[in-house]
Amino acid sequence: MAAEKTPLIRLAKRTEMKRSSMWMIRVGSILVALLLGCLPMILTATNPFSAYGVIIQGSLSRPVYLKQTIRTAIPLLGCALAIAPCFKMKFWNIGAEGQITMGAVAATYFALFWHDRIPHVPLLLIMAFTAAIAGGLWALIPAFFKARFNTNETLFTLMMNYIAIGIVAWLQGGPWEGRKGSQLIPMFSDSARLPTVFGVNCGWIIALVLVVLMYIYMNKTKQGYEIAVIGDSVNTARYAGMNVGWIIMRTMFISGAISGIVGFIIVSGANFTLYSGVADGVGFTSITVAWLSQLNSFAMIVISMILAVLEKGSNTLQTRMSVPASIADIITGILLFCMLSCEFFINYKLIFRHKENKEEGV
Amino acid sequence: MKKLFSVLIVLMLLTGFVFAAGSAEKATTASDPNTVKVGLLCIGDENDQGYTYNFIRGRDEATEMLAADGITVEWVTKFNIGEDATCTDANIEAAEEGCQIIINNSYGFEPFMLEVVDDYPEIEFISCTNCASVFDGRDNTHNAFADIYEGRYIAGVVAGMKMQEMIDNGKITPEQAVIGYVGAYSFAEVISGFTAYYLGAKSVCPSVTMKVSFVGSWSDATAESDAALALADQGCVMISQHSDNTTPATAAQQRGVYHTGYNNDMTGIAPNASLISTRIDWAIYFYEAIKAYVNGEEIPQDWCKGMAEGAVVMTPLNEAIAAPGTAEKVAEVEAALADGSLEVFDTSTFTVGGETLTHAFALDTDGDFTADSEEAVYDGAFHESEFQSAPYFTVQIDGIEWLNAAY
Amino acid sequence: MMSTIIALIVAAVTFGTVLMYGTLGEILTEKSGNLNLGVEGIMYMGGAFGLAGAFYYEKAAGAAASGPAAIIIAILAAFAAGMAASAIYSFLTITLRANQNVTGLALSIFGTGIGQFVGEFMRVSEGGYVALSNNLKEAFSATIFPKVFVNIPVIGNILFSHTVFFYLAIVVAVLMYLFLKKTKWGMYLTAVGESPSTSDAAGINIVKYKYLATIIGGGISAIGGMVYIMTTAGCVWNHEGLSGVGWLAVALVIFCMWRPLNAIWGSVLFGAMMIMYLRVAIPFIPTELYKILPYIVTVIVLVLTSMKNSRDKQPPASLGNNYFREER
Repeated sequence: MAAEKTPLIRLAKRTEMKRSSMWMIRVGSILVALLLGCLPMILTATNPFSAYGVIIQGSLSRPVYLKQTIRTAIPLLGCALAIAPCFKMKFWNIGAEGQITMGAVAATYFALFWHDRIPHVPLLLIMAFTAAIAGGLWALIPAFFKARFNTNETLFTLMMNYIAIGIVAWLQGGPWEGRKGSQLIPMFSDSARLPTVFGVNCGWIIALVLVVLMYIYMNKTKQGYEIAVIGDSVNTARYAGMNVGWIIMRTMFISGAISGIVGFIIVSGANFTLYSGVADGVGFTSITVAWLSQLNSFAMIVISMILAVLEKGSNTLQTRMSVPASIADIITGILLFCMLSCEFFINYKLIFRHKENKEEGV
Repeated sequence: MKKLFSVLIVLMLLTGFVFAAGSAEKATTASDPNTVKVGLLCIGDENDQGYTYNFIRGRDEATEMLAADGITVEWVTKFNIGEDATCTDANIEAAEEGCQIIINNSYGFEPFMLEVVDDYPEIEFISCTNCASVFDGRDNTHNAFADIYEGRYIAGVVAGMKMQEMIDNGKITPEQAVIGYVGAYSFAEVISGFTAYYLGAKSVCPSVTMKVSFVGSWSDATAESDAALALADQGCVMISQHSDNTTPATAAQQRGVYHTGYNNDMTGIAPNASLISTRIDWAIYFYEAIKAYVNGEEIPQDWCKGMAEGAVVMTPLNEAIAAPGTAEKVAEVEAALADGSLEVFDTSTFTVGGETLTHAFALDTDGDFTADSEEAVYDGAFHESEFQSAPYFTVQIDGIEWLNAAY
Repeated sequence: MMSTIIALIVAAVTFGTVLMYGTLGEILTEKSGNLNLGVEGIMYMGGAFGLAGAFYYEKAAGAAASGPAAIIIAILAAFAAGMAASAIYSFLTITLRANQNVTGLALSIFGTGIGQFVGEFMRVSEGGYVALSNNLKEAFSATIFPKVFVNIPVIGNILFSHTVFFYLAIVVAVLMYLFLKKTKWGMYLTAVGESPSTSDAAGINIVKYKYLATIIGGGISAIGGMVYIMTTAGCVWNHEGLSGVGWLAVALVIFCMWRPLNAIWGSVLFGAMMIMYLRVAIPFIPTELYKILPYIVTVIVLVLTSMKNSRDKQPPASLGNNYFREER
């Protein structure tokens, strides 16, 4: 029906766009988002300039704040890296939350029960390794069913999150509980804690190493190529003789393993204990980080830092100006909306009716 | 392509530092010796009309009391902090914002607070309702609680009188005098509270029994409501609570049973159900602690006061529905508690597995979560909150049924 | 025993009503092929704006405030908030062709933020707690049937003791069923979700159907958030109360096989699973593990249906994928 009359605006896929203008649009969308973010502040009678000032101050102005901001950014970055290969493959893994949690569970087991028997460094390595395995296996379950029965992975991985969180809630009040009835798992002893480098747990080094590794994996290896082919077209991949099911499972395992390591970094480097909210939405937020970075490992560093600045800064904003700290979520949301929208203008161009011939319109 | 991004981030950093430089002097602490900046980190917000609301009342009252003494308090209050790493961050935040005293209002905050205290030796950290300060060897950590079990005992007396009246009027049989108690977690503070409450009720209504349902959260309005409804449905005629919200009162009103509350007068919310509440008046402690700090004295390491000092108070009795003579009885019990002629945990008033309680340790000195020193039972009573402010009564006495002990 | 079961059902309905709105809204949305993972955020917004609507209405009207008016205002406020939220989602995914999963998650973050912001801002600006008067609270939690009906043994409690929202939800479910099965537009909508390209070729205005289904669906979901705040949470803003409810609704959509009528009993069943630990204690199952039952059941359903691969029990075929006509 719509095709019968010439639409006012018509779309055409852009063939090529200069990379610089692409990134210009993206930066522009961030600025638009920050402008839109003024709206809730103005509505609640807060001066947006001083509010943004406080956000920046509260996240970057002092070494302590900067450390906290970086600590917030580490899991976002790590987990975005984990998600990238899945999304490249168009396997919508939204189960990172659960994979982080299961990784954290495995790491916590060794931190609680083996810390007095294994020396510091081997203990940390074991924790990291088992966390990776646990996260990987947790991710493998939906991947198996996807490969075998084509079960919808978005919904499956989503459910797995809450199962993992429920398991931790049970451990908290059950077998791993510290003081009876308190529902708190004891804090880790020093030997189960990640050492700090420049004042921040060395998880940031792990994350940066992963950035490079993931970049190489995705762009320079055969497996990375296979992932890209499946992402483009499963059928092409099949014709080319790839074992799609196997690749799906392998990729999901890798993804889950990285998420598991993130879980290990969180419990061993930041929280020093385990509780059901250990992933704290990181698994979801990092999906947006990965997507907005165009699955580019290096861009993820920037995006995760921006989100961390917002989160940490809003906390200070609440302290100093009584603005609800949830402003961070609002601005993050607006930021995501704007950046998602801007991709449209990168991929398509608008053709207005008056610019073209009538015959062309149909 | 990435250049632009790096330019952006550098710009952001720069503006950050410019802003920061502009406010650097603002952040330093006030030089006026009679002004003190205090952080208050809360698990919920005033909307609970219970636990956190009670703290905010204490904060405001203490501010007025201190103002009368010429002391100005600048409060930094943070709400809805989780019992998790966000609590560590909130403590850092408050410390960096120049707070000289930081008060953590929930039990589960303490382990996360302790992660921060060594970085700020000049700041005094207070963890309400918990107990680590005595053994942690630090000077800047403190605990505080009040003898809330006294208030609960009296609330129990009010509830018991109501149930006895119902029995006497033939509304219920003696066996139907069942209390339903919504507890947060199955640990000492809660156990001590409901046992005191039960003993209070039993002192005036000998046939009473009690069912306890744990919800596994300090503050989960829905679960508290569900638990209260479930208890009422199981035949409980009296609901009480050790949880932060008012929903148990609402639930009691909805099911047509009675209720006694905690933290706040709930008769406004449930005029036909709520008889009385007990609450800790935190203003007493805040006043003492802040005053001590300003005068350059030590804040007590482990503070605990009771009804006699005004730290535990009863809210107004709902005369319209309370049993006749309740007010007089309450006054009588209050006086007896104050002069020491009445012990709440008198071992002659309860049994454990049919036996009289003769032994229970009070303190856990080695951190393995079981009490191992200081005999609490002597002179015919269990002495609660005497060796430390945080309650340590964990005995399961006869007449109280735990419906779900998993929490 | 009998009374325990009746009490369990009655209590399950209370929480089930919340889920039913969330689920029904999402069913309508997903029927159009849009997988809106923003339900969590939408329900938060519905809760906050629903409470705000009723609260400020009472503040303006004072003692003259009437229960039915407050209920209608709360419903409208929540519905509008949900429509606004899902309008953002629709614009991004339908017009601007953004990825549905990512947009949905962004909406979750955004909506949760807005909900908590509004809830907290009301408290800050009122300088204390924000609560309705007892009369209005009563209106929100009372049944619409006279006492005579409620007092009928057994069925009285099960059928007639619920809030107006429960009966309204059933009406919505039945209407949605009739719409999807018996009307031309409903069948078109199903076709859009199953195969947008065929529908497009057949001359159905895909964009219009997707927009309307998603926006109205979002509005319905948002009412669930309001019902939660105004019934189970006692008409008081609850900072974390709604967390996870929206995701449970997404799970329930699968469990119900995208059928509105299944949502009626499905949501009551899920509601029962969430509160059962308080009423039916099974000694060897830890209470926390009760709470993951709904998710486990959903996973099993999801796996079984994909294994059987029966035609009528699948998600809408285009679920989660955007439709680009140029790429047809």
